[in-house]
Amino acid sequence: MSSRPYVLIAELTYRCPLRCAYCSNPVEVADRAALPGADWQRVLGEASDLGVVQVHFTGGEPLLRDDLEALVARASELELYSNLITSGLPLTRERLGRLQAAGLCALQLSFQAARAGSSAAIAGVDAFLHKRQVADWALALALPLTVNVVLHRQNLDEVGAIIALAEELGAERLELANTQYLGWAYQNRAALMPSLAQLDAARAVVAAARERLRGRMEILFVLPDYHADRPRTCMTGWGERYIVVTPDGRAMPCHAAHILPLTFPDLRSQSLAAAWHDSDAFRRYRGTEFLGEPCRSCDRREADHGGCRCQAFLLTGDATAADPVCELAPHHDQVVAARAAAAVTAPPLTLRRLRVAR
Amino acid sequence: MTGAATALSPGSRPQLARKARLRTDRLTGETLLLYPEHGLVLSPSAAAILRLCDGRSIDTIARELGAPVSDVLEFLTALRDRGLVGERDAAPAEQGPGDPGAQRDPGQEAP
Repeated sequence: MSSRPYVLIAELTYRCPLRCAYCSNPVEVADRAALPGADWQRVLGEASDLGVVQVHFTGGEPLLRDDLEALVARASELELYSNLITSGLPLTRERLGRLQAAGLCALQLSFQAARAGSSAAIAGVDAFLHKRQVADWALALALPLTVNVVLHRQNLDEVGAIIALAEELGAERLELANTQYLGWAYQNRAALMPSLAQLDAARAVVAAARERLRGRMEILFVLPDYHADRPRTCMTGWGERYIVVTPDGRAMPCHAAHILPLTFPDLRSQSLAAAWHDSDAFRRYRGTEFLGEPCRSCDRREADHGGCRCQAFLLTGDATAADPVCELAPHHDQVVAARAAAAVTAPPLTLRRLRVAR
Repeated sequence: MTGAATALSPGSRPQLARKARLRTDRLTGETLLLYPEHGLVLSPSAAAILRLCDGRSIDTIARELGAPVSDVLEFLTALRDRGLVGERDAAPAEQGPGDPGAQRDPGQEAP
């Protein structure tokens, strides 16, 4: 088993100008103060000492932190490969230039759909033209650009136009990730779940585009696990490669793990190394020891670790259960039912809003 | 992005793509090649080749390392097809088959 993390996912804030109905952020956030900049600087240093080599600055919207430039500069000083994962809002060309000068390695810009109208419907905000402008600035600054689009029932039929948009914007990479039904996406599951016919059609469009664009733009297509027969390996293994740090300074093995009944280490009072090596939260689901049947005797357990812990908990109430997306899981009928429901009319979306626990 | 680059030849002068960064790993001393959301741990020979991609020709790199030109060409072509290496004053290409210099990928499947 790996004894070091490679990637730090720095969730700098849960605030966001967009209200995407598929957001993976918590539906309700803890009423705790944001981690101060000095602590984020320390966490970056501790991450580097632990073996982290990549940092994703994300959120919420990371641009809402005024000290983002200083954090990027610190990452650069530590030779961490820094990715800014952003909605592009609020951003000026000058600030993007400052982030690049601070050492930002790559920009990952979200789009919601191929057109302004369908984008606004899912994001609750009309940001499409501004995002196009941000992509133009990245191109002019020669900042490597990934375009990412979360796919679901309401935009899957636009996938050809989405690919054309990414091409036109000069993206080096296009990440097409189907919705994972956690956080707000779980609240909106019935409205977001695509039909199998939609998925098959999109898959064919992507395959043809990949062939056509080979040598120009890389296209990543992440299938929805609800439509797979076997689960994905959660975060390539719980506590094996990734550390997420939440806006309020908690360390978690996965960005959706806040729903689990675990106490996550508070980085105000303990080091990232202690969190990684010693905390119950990181040790609890490491490896495959915790798994019961049918995973324990399954020949795929070392490959998929029984799937996603958060999904298992969300659907069964037991975080050690087999991920119900697996056709061998006792609760697989729930996933089959959710898939079947996608064949009928979808309910309206509930857009995200920041809800603080009282 | 421009169209696919022409094939590399012994006279080509390869350089790392903008999005790719080389560094030494603090824990293992190995050379890492990092790019958006991913990274590769390089074998010592792969690392030596990439560290010489500074405007020298492939011929020169092979001579300096005492390596067959065909090996250097094959390795750099694999990285070029993944968009990690371009030619000096030419735009890099993207994506392609796996590369012989990589042993494992430390940062796949970021969420």
